[in-house]
Amino acid sequence: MRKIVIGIGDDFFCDDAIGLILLRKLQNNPEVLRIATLLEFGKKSSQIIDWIKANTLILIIDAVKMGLKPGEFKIFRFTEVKAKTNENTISFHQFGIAENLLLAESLGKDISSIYIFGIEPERLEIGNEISDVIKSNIEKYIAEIKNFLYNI
Amino acid sequence: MSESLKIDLNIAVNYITRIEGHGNIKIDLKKGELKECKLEIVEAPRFYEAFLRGRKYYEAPFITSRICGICGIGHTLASISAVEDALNIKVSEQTRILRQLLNNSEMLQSHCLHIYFLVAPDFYKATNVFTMAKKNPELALIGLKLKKLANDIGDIVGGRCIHPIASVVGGFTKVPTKRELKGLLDRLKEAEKDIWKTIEIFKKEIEIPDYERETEYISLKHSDMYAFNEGDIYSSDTGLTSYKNYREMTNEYVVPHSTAKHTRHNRDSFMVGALARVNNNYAQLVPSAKKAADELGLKVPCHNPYMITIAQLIEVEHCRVDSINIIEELLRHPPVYEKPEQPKVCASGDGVGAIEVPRGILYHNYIINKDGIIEDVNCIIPTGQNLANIELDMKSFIPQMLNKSKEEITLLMEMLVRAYDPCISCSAHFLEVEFIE
Repeated sequence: MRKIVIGIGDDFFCDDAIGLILLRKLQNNPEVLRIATLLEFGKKSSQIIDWIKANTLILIIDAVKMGLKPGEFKIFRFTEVKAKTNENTISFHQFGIAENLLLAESLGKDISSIYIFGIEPERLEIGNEISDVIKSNIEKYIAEIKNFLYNI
Repeated sequence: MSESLKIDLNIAVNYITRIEGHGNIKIDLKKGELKECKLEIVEAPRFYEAFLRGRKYYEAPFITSRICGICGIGHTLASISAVEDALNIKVSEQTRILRQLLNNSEMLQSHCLHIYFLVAPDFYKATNVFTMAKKNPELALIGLKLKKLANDIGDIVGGRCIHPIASVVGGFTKVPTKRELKGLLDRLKEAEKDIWKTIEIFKKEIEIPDYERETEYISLKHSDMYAFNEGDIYSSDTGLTSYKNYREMTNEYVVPHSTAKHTRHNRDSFMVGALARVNNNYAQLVPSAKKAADELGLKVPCHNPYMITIAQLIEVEHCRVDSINIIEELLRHPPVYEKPEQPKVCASGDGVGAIEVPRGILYHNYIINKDGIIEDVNCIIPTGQNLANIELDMKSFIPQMLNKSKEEITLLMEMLVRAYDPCISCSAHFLEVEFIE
């Protein structure tokens, strides 16, 4: 099975940058590069639809509000959760990863192999510094992602 | 349709969906007389004009690009154009055509977003793009493919498609390679079948509401080309005037129910955008775009605002072919890096940039002092220019549709506003609709 890791986020929105920070760290890891394709999407999440294919596992790394304590993380399938979307009032200023995955599903794509590595953010506001609680856990997140990719 | 609706109709739609930004429509009909019909723009102003003052001239394109995530390229180009006009900077032919290609990419991506994802759900009685995609996945997939192509052109020419960085005052900091251009050329040629498939689907499956109101159409006009990046201002009522006279063409004024200013010229309102451009510059469309107009039943002058979406599709075909022509020219004379032109020492001035962006003419006007500092700024956004015209369309159309149900009237009003593709985020910021009963 092909494995793809995607970093989502915004470098200038505090903890929303964590998906990009982790992806860039993984890009320096030859072991990970041997088993997975790494893609930095940033804010352009509409590209994901092109990557959803049969026999392909996608792991999206992103800051996710899950009601956990800041810095805690969870790996889950996108299909396991009800993501908050604004389906009927949507404009394309608001079209994020959840909306793109729903669109992919509407187009008949199988999204059951899409996993999210979600990290509970502390601060989501304009700024280029991530919270200390997230910064201090970066190596732990990397280890968990590697563990997931090796064992899935 | 009940008789009572002919007498009293009070409709409040508090969120017009599938537009960029936030606003409200309020309609109040008492005993058959229209008491209130307003398009409220309720988003807070963002004061870009204020915080550009005191900045260096070369910062303006990067700052103003952030006014909008959809039309950031247009703001960049209008800003660059205003600075170059103020400081008398002349750019190379290579820069001119790369800018045309860059602006084409934004027309393509913004029009495709609007046609395939914001308006198409109405044609399929769907409330959003997700349900529309289930009913017609082919149309949604074509939209995604064309949008990606447009974004990739923006990435390659502008450095990135949202808030471009390679397009600067005086030129470009990087130019596309032959290989990149060849890749785009192949995909633009392939896109022909997708656009014509869309035209075929639209011809067969969609129904445009039957409504007409003649208005004044204002667009740029250029003697040598279908005007997007360069030209003077043309009014269907009063003819051509210099782009420098933009204030006389816009006459901004404040209304109490909108944080975005309204405009007027020869009448109480005018229209800008794709339909105004097609009406004013039809002769300069490429032949296949004219063929698309024929196929889709758009005859100029067209006075039906619901046909704006059709005009956008015609422009999509025009931009595709124009981009092919530009890239073929660039492949014959491959672009080379040129150091961006800089202003002469102590240059200063008052400059205007007038650019056609997806929703109409975008004006930036800067006064720059001899130290290169911006002293005064005026930006006039297309959505603001269309607001008065949308309201007059609503006022004119409502009395014609009182035999319809409230739900039908509500949908037609929302579709009318959506047809204009308003970007309230730019003009102030969104839209809600309220019919009061």
